[in-house]
Amino acid sequence: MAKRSRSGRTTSKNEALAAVRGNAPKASPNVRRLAAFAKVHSCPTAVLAFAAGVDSNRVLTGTRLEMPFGQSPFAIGRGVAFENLLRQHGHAELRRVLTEGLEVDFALAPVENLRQGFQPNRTGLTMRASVTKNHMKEIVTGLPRPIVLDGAVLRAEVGGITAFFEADEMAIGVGGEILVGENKSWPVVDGRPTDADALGSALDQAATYALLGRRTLAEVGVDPDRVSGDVVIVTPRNTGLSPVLHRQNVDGRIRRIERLLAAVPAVSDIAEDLPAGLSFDPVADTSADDDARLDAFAEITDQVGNVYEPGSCLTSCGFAWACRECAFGRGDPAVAGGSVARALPGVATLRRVSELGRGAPPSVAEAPAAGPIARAGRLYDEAVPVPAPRRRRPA
Amino acid sequence: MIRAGAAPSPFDAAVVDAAAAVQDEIRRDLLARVGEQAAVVAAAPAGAGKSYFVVETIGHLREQDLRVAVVAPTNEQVHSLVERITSVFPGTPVSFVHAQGRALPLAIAARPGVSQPSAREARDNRDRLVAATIDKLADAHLRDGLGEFDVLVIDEAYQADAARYYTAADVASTHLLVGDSGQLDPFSTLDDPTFWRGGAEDPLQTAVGVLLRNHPSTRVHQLPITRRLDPRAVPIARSFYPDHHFDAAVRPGVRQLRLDRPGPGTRSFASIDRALNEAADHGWAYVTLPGAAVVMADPATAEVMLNLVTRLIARTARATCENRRGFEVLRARDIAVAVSHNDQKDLLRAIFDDAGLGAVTVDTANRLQGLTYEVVVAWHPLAGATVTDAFHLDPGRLCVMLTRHRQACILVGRDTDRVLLDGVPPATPGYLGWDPDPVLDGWDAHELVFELLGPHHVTA
Amino acid sequence: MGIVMWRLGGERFRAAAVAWGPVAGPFKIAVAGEPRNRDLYFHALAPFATDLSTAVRAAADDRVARTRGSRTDRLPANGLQLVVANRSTVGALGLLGRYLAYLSDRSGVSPDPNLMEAGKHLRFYARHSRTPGQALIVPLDRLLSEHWATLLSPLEQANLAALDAQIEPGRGVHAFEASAAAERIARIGPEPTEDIDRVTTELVEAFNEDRAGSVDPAVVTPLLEPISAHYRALVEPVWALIGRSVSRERGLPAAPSVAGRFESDREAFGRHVDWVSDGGRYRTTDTPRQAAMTLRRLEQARSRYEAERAIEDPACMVPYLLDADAIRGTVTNLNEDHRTVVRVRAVQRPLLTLDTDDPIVLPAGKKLWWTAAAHDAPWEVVSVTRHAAGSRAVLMLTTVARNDRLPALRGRATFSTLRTRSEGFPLALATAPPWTHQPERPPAAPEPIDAGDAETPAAAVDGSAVADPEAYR
Repeated sequence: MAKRSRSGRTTSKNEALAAVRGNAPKASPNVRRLAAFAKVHSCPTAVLAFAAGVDSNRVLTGTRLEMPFGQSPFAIGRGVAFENLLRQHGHAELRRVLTEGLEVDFALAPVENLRQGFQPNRTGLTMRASVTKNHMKEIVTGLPRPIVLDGAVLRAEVGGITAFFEADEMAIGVGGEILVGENKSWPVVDGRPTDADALGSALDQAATYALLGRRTLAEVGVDPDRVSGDVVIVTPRNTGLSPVLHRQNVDGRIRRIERLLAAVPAVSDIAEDLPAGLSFDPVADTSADDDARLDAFAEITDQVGNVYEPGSCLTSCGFAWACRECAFGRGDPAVAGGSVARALPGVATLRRVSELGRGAPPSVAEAPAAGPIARAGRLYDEAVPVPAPRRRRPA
Repeated sequence: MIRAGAAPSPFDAAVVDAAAAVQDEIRRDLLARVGEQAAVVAAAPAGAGKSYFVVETIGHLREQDLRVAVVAPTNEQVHSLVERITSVFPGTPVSFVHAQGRALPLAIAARPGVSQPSAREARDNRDRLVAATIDKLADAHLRDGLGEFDVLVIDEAYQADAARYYTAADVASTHLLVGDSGQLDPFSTLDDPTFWRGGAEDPLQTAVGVLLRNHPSTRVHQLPITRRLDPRAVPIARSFYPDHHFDAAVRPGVRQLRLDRPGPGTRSFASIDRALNEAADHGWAYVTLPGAAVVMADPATAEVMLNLVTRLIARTARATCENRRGFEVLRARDIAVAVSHNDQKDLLRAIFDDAGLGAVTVDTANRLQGLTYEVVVAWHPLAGATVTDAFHLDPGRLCVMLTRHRQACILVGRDTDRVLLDGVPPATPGYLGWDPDPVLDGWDAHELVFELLGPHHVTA
Repeated sequence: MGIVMWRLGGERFRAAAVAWGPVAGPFKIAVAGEPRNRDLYFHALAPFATDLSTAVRAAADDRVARTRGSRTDRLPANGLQLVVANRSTVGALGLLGRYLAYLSDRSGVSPDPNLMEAGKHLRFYARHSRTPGQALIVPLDRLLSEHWATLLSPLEQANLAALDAQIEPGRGVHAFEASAAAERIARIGPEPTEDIDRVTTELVEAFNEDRAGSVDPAVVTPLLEPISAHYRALVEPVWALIGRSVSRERGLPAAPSVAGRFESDREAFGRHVDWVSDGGRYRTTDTPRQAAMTLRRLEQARSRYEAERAIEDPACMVPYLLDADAIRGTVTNLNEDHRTVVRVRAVQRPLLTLDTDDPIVLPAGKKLWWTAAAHDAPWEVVSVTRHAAGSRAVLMLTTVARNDRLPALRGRATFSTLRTRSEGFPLALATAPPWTHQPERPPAAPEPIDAGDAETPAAAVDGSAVADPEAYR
């Protein structure tokens, strides 16, 4: 009896979240979505979208607040070609870089390509995860030579949803350890990546795989530290696609990702508190007009709450322009960025900042910031005299 | 003469002996390498008695009649070394070579043995012991040919950058680098200080960093002792030295702080007095105000800090330690207030001066590095913050604030600070060839410190 | 000279189009068609390389003498100023320069020396852009962000069109709406968006098919027209935006310190051109010595630039006043003849009383510079006391009186920690590194930058054809 009712409740929670998503574009968790989630994890709307499997990048497609998204086909083609290059001729290039970079001979190492021979769906991923786990278990038996898995899959529970994470490569049995690797097609020139922040993301992604790898080992009773805290990033060097390997330690990042995964709310926790009828469906409805869709989005943010910070939101969430417009409409100082907003604690609108800058009396909440704002106003008025505001508000 | 009933030593012999053994090992290592292009690194936790060790080591080197140059990044640090040398080895000749306008304070300059020759004079006389800032010694070497020392001793080597080290390294082939890895790193005003990060040429890596990068087999000795901190302070201090074990030289109970009872009419100070009692009993107190939206230089926090110091003095705080017989009343100048920002400092300075507490030191962590006080009141770097960032998470800043004191340290913040660390650390860029992640290390250190401060928490 | 670049998506070294010309005037455009093909690429870039090198050399030829003390140098009277839309373009040009300057031979044939020279110039400009206050290469997003206060967050300020829209939104339009609209429409580069390159993909594929492997200009040039038109249409709005921004900035007066900073720029420019003309080569990475010297130079340039800005522009001084690094008030007393004893002699040290509007806290002995004499000697704080709503500070000049050192009695004056003469002496760096800065194992010789040029270009793949296009970001 208890079992049935429990499974009944879980189903209705999943149903509740499915209702939240409606027909809005779907997105299941992966390393990149997790990384984007990290930047916005304090925003309840973003959290809801993430937990409900909604692809925030695509919900507003067709509206005037749709954010540009997508990559040049040349960039994608380059990435595809880089992956293919590593795999050609029995993974010759992959073996070469692993050998050079890790100082272990991979020439004769078995390389299993888990991207081939499995269905491109959840069943296939489940099976690949199983194969990966079995190979990882072999680390305890001591392998005569390393095994490389191309397209290793690690399974994780993210907020109560089972998600599959695909590591570009996993080398099992390197000095008794397992190393995970991530391929990126941006080049390294003179020992530096051309994209400074991109390396940080790549290391975070690899750290995610390392963490999940450790959890996988723990599940089967193997010492999780057999997955190394060092990871491998494979990139081209200079022009062309000829690969080179970089080995970096990511112990700190692994700890960070652990906290990130813990910060994803459980499906059950969200479902319970959801107001009835809340859904992204009308927001994503391309047959409706812009205003109706944006109003529906405002409904959600009003009920659930949102936190707008340009630096975090504009680079990770497809709702950022919509939230920016709302923030502007409210006169929220947040539109100018987090550091500006933090200098104005207790001041709710830009209009108030302006008034306080002219010496208006502050409310209790505004008192801490009012002194510095008034002073700044006086100093700027002396430095750059401007005409008085056209509209005068009654005192 | 052995006195009957003499008190047992205030020091833990095991700790002191272990430290002595390491120090002997460092000197053996160093002497064995004289004449080679080689270096020895001595990593010391806060309050290890680093400068004393440096001075004693110089004594050993001079006994072997070796020519020694001793340097440090700032003038104050070198003045202090010269003063130490003349205290420990009175009369020993030491030449202080300095830039114009940077002469020794008269009191030190007047001591027997101390001279202030020009670089040329020091070179011509082949002075056996020369003290200078790194910049000045480098200048003297390049322009006036002062060099050919047997050993170069660098104090505060973790605060010196690779660019400075480059300038002075040629004065001797054998080097001893002594420093504290837990405190603040070298700092630059550049917009893009990470431009060279990860490369061997990075001028902003520490002197120890560039040495180990190019010569990874260089031995790094760890001094397992702190003389400033007592056993109650060590667990929190250890948060900043994850791979470095050390213990307090003094035994538990040697350092004591006593306060008068609060007395009638002081009910309004009840929480302040509770915090002071906690600090006196346990060496730590952590006072929090309720969470609120505040500016960085928050007046309410400043007032709490003023009240803590005012009450400390009003209750006739008195301390005893291994250097005193009985209790002595704490003076204002034995107390320091540590902050992260200049505007916090300015606010505190104004209210402290108004309260007649002009003798209490109020300064940023940067300027408190290397200094010692009896009691420290610290403005928590995350106090009132709504988000975390690299500057406020910097473990070096917190380390400096929490390792200046001999008797007690009281932190002041808001009760929402700790909650910040329930979230997720900010994302960080990566650098090829450079594994450290100061933001993540800082996060971990802060978390650990909050945890250890838990038992000493008092709400304001 | 204005430069606009559009890269081929994801290809850091491949400019699909480079446009250049006088900022207010017409631009020329170089389009390779298939920039991943070395022959086509070099052939297309050659006119750009030639024009750039010619302009650089012409600017460097015209020299004037500058005497400092006993030393006379000959500096270029002007430098060639490059104007680009954003900092990403500076980085892209730098990478292009890194590539062109170090091209290696192919089957015994040396690469076009013109290209290599242009590469050196581009690399010089990109490296020089790090110097605070420099104006040899001007990324307009930075220029406008530094000189205009808008409500754009730092991230949004990287979009020149958004900045321009905030500054001049047009009649009846709110700045915010104008910049949001501009972000939607504007495409600035150098990295192309998905929709731009979907068109490029088709054009390039058609182009490659039609030329059937030929790199003969006679065959290829007529086939380039559709691609040229595509990029011309992408360059025009950016070019217009650059022109508009520059003409607006030119309408504002230059600060007095600009000439001094540009003199440093001209000096660096002249040294670079001399080096290149003499056949000098540059290392691909800095030695420890070069890095240390650069560090010191950039730090000094930064403190000089910050000081000059704040001193010359009262609006830029406000943050220093708020942070208590500067004080401002009325001079209520001035004693020019005040004397004090320095080393047994009585010397003249003027004493000044400043009544500030706001309370200040300053330790005795702190040194402050009067903004009108920030290159000269500082004043020392003698005392600070409460006075009316603010404070009364007594300051003592650390040198003798002279008219240009003294603010007017009853006038307003600002004193700050900012000074324009650099402090500190140069780092004493020996040319040969000490043993500590030499690695035990010499580093491997760098790989040639263009080793990958021989590879067959990867086929473009549309995002819709791949399960997870984001995986390739």
